[in-house]
Amino acid sequence: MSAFTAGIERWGELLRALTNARPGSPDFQPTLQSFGVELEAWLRATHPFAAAAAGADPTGRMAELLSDWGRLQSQLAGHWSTVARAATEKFSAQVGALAADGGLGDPRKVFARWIDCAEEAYAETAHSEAFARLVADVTNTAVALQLEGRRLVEERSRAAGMPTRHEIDVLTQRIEQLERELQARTKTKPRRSGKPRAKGKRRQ
Amino acid sequence: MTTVCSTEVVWQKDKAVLYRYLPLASVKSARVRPVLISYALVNRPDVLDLQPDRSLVRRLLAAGLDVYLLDWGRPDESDRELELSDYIEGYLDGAIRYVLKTRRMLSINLLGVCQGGTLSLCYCALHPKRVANLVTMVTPVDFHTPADLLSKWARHLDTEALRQAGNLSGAVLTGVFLSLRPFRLMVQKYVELLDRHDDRDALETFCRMEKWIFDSPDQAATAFAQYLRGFYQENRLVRGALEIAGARVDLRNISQPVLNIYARQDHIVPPAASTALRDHVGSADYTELPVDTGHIGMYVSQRTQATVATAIASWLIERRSSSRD
Repeated sequence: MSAFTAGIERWGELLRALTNARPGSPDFQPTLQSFGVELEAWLRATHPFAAAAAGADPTGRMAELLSDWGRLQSQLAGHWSTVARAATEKFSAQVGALAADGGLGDPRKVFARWIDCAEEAYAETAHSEAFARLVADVTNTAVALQLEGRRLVEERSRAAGMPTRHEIDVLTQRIEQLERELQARTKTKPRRSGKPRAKGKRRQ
Repeated sequence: MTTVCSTEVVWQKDKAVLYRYLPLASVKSARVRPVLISYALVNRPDVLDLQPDRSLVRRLLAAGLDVYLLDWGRPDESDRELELSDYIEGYLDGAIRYVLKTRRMLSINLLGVCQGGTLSLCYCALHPKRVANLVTMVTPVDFHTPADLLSKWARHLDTEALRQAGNLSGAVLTGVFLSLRPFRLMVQKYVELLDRHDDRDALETFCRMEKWIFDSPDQAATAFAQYLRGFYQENRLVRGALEIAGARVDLRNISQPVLNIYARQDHIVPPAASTALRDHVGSADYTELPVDTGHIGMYVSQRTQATVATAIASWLIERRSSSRD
């Protein structure tokens, strides 16, 4: 939350600086570039895919997975840089038109245009095959870390004679299967014929 | 489930609950078969009855329809082995059979929303005689269209590992949805709120939407893995390769009237993902209704709700004498 609010405050400062600056003045371009810098920082700190894995036992498989995780996060950071750069380029290209029709003095218009540029740049990356594969690798590695952590815990639980997740899963599977079989039998159960019983005879 | 309109619980199985909405006072019945709403598993259905002036359900009731809604519940780890077949053949079928039995009918109207629409299509293809008319809203059918970002991200996921890891946290799924448009959904939306800081009604509506967005239920591990693999990765529904409980799902079995409503600016279910239905159903009475809104706007935009609810009600009333019974 603090990264989020800090980001908003910083963008507010940049918007004020940009609306007060004039195109062509010495501080105009650096101010524009600052938008890209802040965007990249926001993505690193706030994007859901950039969340860090839980701590784990750094031995063997776990160490290997953590190393993979670090490598993948670096690749992800590379994509955030690409998005920030592309967003800044698009925004720079459009800010001239904004200035020409007097829109630069309206922070709302400037911000809306900045968001449009950011989303457009993000979409170019997000739809790419490289990013899609990276998202899958990040997710698969996070899941593998979770499973490896659980395996380590299960080893210790088994040694202590305690029930494990795996044993509970197997039991649950059996119960679910029994319920499905029961449901299937209930649905296909033949209806009673409704024929009246002969007099004097009792149902056993 | 939080509702604005009054409801009664009429059927329950495990965590799935079937609600019947009580008719509105002084509204004349449209005398059509009951409508059962099947919502997505990935969000709570409360959004369909969010507040008095933003309630698709209320508008359907006001049109004289008899409305049921199936709430799938909130899975916990005891539900991790639930399969898609349990949702379709267990809960949805159980709820529909209950309505048919208690209302002494052979078929009902089914309204499937988003993933709930996909599940409804599967159900309809497997049990066509039990559905008189089918309405789908923002429903993905073809999961491999070019604009489908979720599909691209899902393509290389290890679904077996995901299944083993247990139920998928609702918070994680919410993060994924927000990642589709991070700047609009995680920044701009809040900045624009400043313009409405003195509008209490707007602020309350915003807060209700926020509560819904961040109230996603966890997903049962096995069913979620099956959905990812069967639909997003292998696109089996439109390839005719999907099986539920051993039975093949053939969309050509859907011969009853179909109304397919989709959002033109839908970034979660791109229009092409929904309109693909027209090339696969066997129905001779197939209608599409495009709406100028986004995925969420379809449920909560006041302007859209008026259009959509009226369209659904009119379409069903026109077909009230369907020969299913």
